[in-house]
Amino acid sequence: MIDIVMPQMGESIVEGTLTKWLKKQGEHVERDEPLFEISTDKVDTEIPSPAAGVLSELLVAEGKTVAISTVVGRIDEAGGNGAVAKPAAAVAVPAPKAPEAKAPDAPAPRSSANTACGRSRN
Amino acid sequence: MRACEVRELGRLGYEDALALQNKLVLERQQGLIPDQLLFVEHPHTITLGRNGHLENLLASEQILERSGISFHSTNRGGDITYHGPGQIVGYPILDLREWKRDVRAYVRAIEQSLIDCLLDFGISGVRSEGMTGVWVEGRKVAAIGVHISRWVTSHGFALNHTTDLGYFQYIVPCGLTKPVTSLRELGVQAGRAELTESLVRHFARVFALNTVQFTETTK
Repeated sequence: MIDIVMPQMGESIVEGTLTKWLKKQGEHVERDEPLFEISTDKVDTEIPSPAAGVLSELLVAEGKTVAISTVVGRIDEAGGNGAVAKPAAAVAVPAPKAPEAKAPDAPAPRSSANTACGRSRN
Repeated sequence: MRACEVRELGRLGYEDALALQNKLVLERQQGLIPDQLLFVEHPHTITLGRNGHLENLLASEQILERSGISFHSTNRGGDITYHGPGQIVGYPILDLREWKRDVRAYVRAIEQSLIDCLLDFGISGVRSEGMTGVWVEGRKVAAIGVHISRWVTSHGFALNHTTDLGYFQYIVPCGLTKPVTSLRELGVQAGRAELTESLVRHFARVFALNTVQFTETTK
């Protein structure tokens, strides 16, 4: 999972308003494809996608103002077929035992736990 | 110094100007052309920014149509504004990666170019905290609204030169209930060419650009 963050648009800028998502949840995006628009002062900026994959989570709604570096959404690089969710949820149970052994599949223990939480709601 | 081509396009419809900007933005992103500064004069047009509020449009679309005003929703920042004859509209297409990656500094620099230009004609324009644009005695003389894609700018500024200010009655400009003014109303007699010449000079200095007149070889 790749975090999409509110970018810093200048030295003195500490927040930005997410004005429009240009892609829907579940939609495939290419790296560098325009993903959302933000507004700071009288400037609207199109933000390109940090990675190719499926826009799996939209965490900030249109019209909301958030601090820079806030995670506004996530991209699933794996491709977003339903099968991905199951192994991730299964990993969450044995994870405390041997996180090191799982390393090739799961990124870091901390983030895989977050992922499991996020998905258990679905 | 980086080069910047300056084009005075004269009277041009809003959509045509937008299409040209979009084309130039793509070419600028691909590094095919240097920075650009376009000057146009639009026919009567009202535009609404991406985060603008339609309630700031005070007339129905039928009334606008009857008054010969076209209406467009756009992707620039800012609220609602009016463009029309007698207004100097400037569209800089700049790659900010070659200047400063800072959208606020960009807007402040545009304001500075306008303020310095006005001084050439004896007018003291100022910034107003939280209200982008250039103001003279509490009235707005120039509006700013910008779009950025991959650090390349489009849209820009609109300076009221001999603008018929009556047309602003159809809107709440930029969503602010503040009066507007024009250089003509402020007593400036200079013509458009004189003003754009001054603007280009100050713009070039503020952005450290070497401006050259664009000469169209193919039409």
